[in-house]
Amino acid sequence: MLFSPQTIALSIVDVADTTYKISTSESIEELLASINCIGLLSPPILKKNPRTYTIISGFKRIAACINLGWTTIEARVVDYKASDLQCARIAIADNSANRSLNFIEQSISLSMLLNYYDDKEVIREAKGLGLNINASLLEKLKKTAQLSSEIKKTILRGTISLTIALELGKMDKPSAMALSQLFESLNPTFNIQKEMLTMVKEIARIKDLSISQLLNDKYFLSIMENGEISRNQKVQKIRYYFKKMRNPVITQFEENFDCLMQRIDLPDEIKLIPPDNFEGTKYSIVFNFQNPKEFEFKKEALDKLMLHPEFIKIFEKEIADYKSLH
Amino acid sequence: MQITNLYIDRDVLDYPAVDAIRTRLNIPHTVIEGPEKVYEIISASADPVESGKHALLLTKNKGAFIRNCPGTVKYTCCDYTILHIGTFCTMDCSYCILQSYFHPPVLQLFVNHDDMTASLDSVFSQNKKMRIGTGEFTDSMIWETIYPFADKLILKFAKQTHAILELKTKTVNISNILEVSHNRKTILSWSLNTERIIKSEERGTSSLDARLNAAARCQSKGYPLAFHFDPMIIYPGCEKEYQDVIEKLFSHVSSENIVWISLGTFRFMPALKAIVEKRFEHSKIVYGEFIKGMDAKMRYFKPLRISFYQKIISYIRLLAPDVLIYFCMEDTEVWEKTIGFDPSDYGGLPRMLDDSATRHCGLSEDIN
Ligand code: SF4
Repeated sequence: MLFSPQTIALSIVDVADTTYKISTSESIEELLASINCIGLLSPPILKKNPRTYTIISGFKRIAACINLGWTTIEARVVDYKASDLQCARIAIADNSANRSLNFIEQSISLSMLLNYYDDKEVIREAKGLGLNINASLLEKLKKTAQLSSEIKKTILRGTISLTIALELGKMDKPSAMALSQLFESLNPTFNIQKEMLTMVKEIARIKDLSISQLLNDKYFLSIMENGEISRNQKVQKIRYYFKKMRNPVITQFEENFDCLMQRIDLPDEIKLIPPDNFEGTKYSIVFNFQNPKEFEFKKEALDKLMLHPEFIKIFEKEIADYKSLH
Repeated sequence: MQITNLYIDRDVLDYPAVDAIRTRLNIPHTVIEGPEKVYEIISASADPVESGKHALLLTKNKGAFIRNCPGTVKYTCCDYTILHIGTFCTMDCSYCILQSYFHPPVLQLFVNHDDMTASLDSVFSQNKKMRIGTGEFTDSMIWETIYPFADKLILKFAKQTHAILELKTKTVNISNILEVSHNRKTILSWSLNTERIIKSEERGTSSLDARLNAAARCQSKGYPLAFHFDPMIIYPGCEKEYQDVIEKLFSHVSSENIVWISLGTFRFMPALKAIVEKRFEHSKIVYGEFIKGMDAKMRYFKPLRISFYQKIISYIRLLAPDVLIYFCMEDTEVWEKTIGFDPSDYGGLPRMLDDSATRHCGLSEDIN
């Protein structure tokens, strides 16, 4: 296909037509400075229509030139007979030749090609256009393409990971938005996001509520709106709140255990460690000492432990009148 | 669940069972050169568990027919022996471990019954007390409507006095065994659950009433019985509903005719969770208060299990003070806090079960 270099009036370039737009970045500041300084190095690619021109590649360059007050631009023009597929291929090849595309851009590119090819062909075709995609990535990118624009933006901002975004994509819109806003405002690590997501999904299933209903709960909102605690403190409080809802018996039991330990009041540096998840039967005592005198002191504390009325309770593993959720 | 694909391993084409099953199913069949082909087909399907339930493979058991139950040292094991008659199941329980146990899950029925008989002869010749069951990798009675062979096993066990056969099922396919001379060497056992759980989690199984009626009919024919409350699911109001099941059980059968009742709360390998979520959209069973147990399986939080078992045992004891209750895979702490003793005080769990089998089924003492 031939591109012909032409000078085109910017007034007849249809900037509103984003059919072939791949780039997710809107910022033109750097471009403005560079064009202002050394001019337009790489001419955009346009497609000729009867009265206007469609942008195939170079949306930001054109926006920058308009911003700089230019009235005409040097462009490479593709003949109006070029098919949609040919234009899409040019857009993808030109974008991927200049930089590595982010997930959203890759998903936009693939969506263009998937109108014409099946999965196998699309992987081959994408490779020819500079995109290295395998079958599992293709599946993810297809799902990414279905995500709402708000969620795509949170991925681009780096607030949520692709895995989380794809999970949000499976939810009803209000729930996805509520979670995305939660992550946006608290910015927890990806691991904590994953933990929170699993928790709320499961609590919602247990309680037959939607996630958005769950995140509209008064107590939850009171944590979110509390101006006196830091973002990190909010994250911790919310995690605990979720944990308590998800595993009420376990959480209550652990709280009771901590209370017992407080009442037993072991000296600092003596730790009574219960079996993992209270499943096994082996408890351990760890204590540090620096000299025989300190050893003697801690040993006495351990001897007294046996006499403490609360000590035996630890081994009973009883739960107070439980009202399990499950 | 309906069998829509029948695969026959070329090796077993002229076995008598194959002919009978082919005629009975009356569907087209494919002859294959080895089970691998079927594994491939099932693995490649979108939902291998679902596909696996519709495809029956008639083949040989090339391994051991008699195997030890894969217990773990971390929990008290009952030292059971498995008679490996086939794999997977035509019924569809959400919690079924077999969904994630076989890769891929394939309905296999082993038709080299002469080899199976030879294996049993060899075991019987040891004159050693054994509890042998067929319901570990499949349900013991699912094939009875297509190719009845439980009667042959029952007769085989009837002729010796050291081992008992346990046929464990959720079906009521008993018509073919009622008149068999069993010599009380076969225990008919049913897995029981609350009506709610049967309805929501046990697709294609028979109702609680049907199971208990079948048990009562077997009792009337002199069969010893056993019941397995396993897996018990903890949910709001579950104690009352399990109590109802227990009351119903003892209104159908006499506690004196029950060799044992096992209890076990739901536990699962972590990989099962995703399968249940995908295949049983409405199921909530994987959202209980689980922790990772010492055998890497997810189990209800121990204090929760203990409290739950205490209630269930008190309900059973009220109606059947002397029946032998045991746990499938729980540790000494659970035993002591619920049943009140450690099995090792009585020679260990296998010994307790053997003794009960001896009493109910008239087994001879070990010669060795
Ligand atoms: S009846 Fe038993 S073997 Fe069959 S699906 Fe249910 S749990 Fe699995």
